[in-house]
Amino acid sequence: MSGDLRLESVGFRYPHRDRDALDEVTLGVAPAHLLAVVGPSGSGKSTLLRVVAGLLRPDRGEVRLGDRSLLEVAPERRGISMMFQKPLLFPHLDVLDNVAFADRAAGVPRARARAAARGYLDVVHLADLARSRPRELSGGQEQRVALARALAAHPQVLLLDEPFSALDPELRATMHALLEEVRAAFAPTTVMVTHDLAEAAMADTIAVLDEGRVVQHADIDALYRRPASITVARLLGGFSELAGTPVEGGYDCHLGFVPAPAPRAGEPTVVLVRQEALQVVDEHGPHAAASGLVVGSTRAGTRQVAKVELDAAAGAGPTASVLVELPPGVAPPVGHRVGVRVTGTLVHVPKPSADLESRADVDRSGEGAVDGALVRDRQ
Amino acid sequence: MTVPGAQRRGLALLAPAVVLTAVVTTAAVGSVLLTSLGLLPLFGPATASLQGFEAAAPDLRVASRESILIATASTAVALVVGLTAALLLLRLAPRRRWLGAPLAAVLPVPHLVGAAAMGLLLSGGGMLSRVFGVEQSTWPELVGGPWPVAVVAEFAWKESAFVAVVVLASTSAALPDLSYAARMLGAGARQRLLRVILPMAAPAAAAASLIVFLYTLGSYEVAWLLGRAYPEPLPVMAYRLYTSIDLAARPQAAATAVTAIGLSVIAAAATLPLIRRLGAAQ
Repeated sequence: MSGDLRLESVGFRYPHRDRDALDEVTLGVAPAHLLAVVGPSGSGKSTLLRVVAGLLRPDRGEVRLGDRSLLEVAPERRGISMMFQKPLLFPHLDVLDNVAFADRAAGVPRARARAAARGYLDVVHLADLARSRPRELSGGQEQRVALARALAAHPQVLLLDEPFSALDPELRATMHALLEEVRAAFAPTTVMVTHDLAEAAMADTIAVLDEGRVVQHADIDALYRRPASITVARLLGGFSELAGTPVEGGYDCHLGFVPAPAPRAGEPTVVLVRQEALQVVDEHGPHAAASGLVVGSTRAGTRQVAKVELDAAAGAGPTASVLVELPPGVAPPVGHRVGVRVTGTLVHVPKPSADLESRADVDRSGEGAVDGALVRDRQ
Repeated sequence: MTVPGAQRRGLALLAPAVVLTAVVTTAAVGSVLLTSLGLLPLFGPATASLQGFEAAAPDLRVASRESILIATASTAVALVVGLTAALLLLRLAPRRRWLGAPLAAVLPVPHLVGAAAMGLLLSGGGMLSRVFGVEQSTWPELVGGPWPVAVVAEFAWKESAFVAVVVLASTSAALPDLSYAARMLGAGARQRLLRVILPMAAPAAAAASLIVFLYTLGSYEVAWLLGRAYPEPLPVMAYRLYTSIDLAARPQAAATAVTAIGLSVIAAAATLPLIRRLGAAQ
């Protein structure tokens, strides 16, 4: 029931706008895979879905499902279902008739369509609400019905436009689990737009959009280890940006020497460091790559992150801050001087001027990012 | 039952208009009812009787039929034209609200002005006959003829705009998105119209139609200007009898008005459950 979805050099501009909403977007989603599309607001994520759905016609490029071009195919004939941010259930129909809608629109007799719809309601665990009206449902129940309704259309491709963003965290987790169940059972090719990186982590691959361009398309691991640009790193969060000065074989930064394959002489760059790659140690200990003052901390669940203002280092410019993840239960030593040790492989130098040249960073094959990445192990 | 704050504030804002309307309507209906029953005579002692109804009975039947014909035809045309206009606007220009401006511009035009304009347009020596170059003698009797064509045309023109505005106001927020959702579920244009658009527009269209029906049933000036002398609809008959120099005709005028009110009440009572059911389904 799933298909291989491909976008090739797709461009789209809304009327009366001075820049493209989508610019040379090339992406591929393998059958039954889930692609998450992330990016800042206005980066073109929802436009991308609408182009795939056929609700918007691209100005250039190609959208293919398998061998078939979809450009001349009406949205209702594309074999694509879409879940929107709002459930958009039909208020004049009960839950069962909502789920049976696609079959009814295809001419299936009502009794047969409703019988089939019951099966999909079972999948989303809402069989007992079959006779309810949409206004009688909670937000989570509405989205589950919307998911059942989308599946009942037997789509080859399922598009999800931030469908869980309005739900509270617990309901969202339930919906994520349900989505996994549904993917296991029906295996649709899925494209999901989301602002939630935890949600995006469910995906097989993640495409990062910025100003209508795909700045990176990779799996979550590659994305976290080797963000193609500072923009991507900022979007993901948890990265510290340190100024790097080119030296023989690499860059010097506040944390010491970072090797790079071909540093450009005279061209400063930014070294990206994941917060998990750093450790707070004794300032005067043998492992301290740099030292500084803990100026603050943030907490996310059981995880605590300390912000350390590093001392100025020769050749690395004035002071800089880094984020350091602390082990569970360790109180952040705010106001104390500490040493910082690089413990992992999550130090990365993006391709110089990656943000300016992000168009060139697009992986045309849709299978990964091209970057000037260098990951070093400083164990 | 507790009333939410916003709803309470809405009711409070509406209260002055509602109270005033209720007082005026109750006083008018009470006075006309008492007059029709001989209990509020202009002269002589008050005596309860149905003489007003009995004296007007032969004409009342004909006038009722004429009124119902005009109201039904006007409502039907207004509904079809108004609903079509609203759906076309929703489909073609969901984000171009200015396209609805011509509809909104029709609403404040008084019916009297509309009737005069329709007379100038449709009468024998009117603009249309001149545009088509048809002799006055061969031009169909659209104004004051055997069929109330001009009356229905005027009501339909004005009220179709009303129907369209009501339908647009009640559906424009949700329908475009629901239509997209239906499309993404494989519904073509016909299926979307039958399974989403018309059911969604039905409550507003039905409510607007009832208002149009009741208005055209009770409005006299258009039929008075554009209709024939006989048979005349109930409001024209009531107006004629009420302004007659024969003051003894007042009970008949009141009986005619009461008949129009009765028909309106029957129409409302027959239709409101359907409108409620359509609304409750959403």
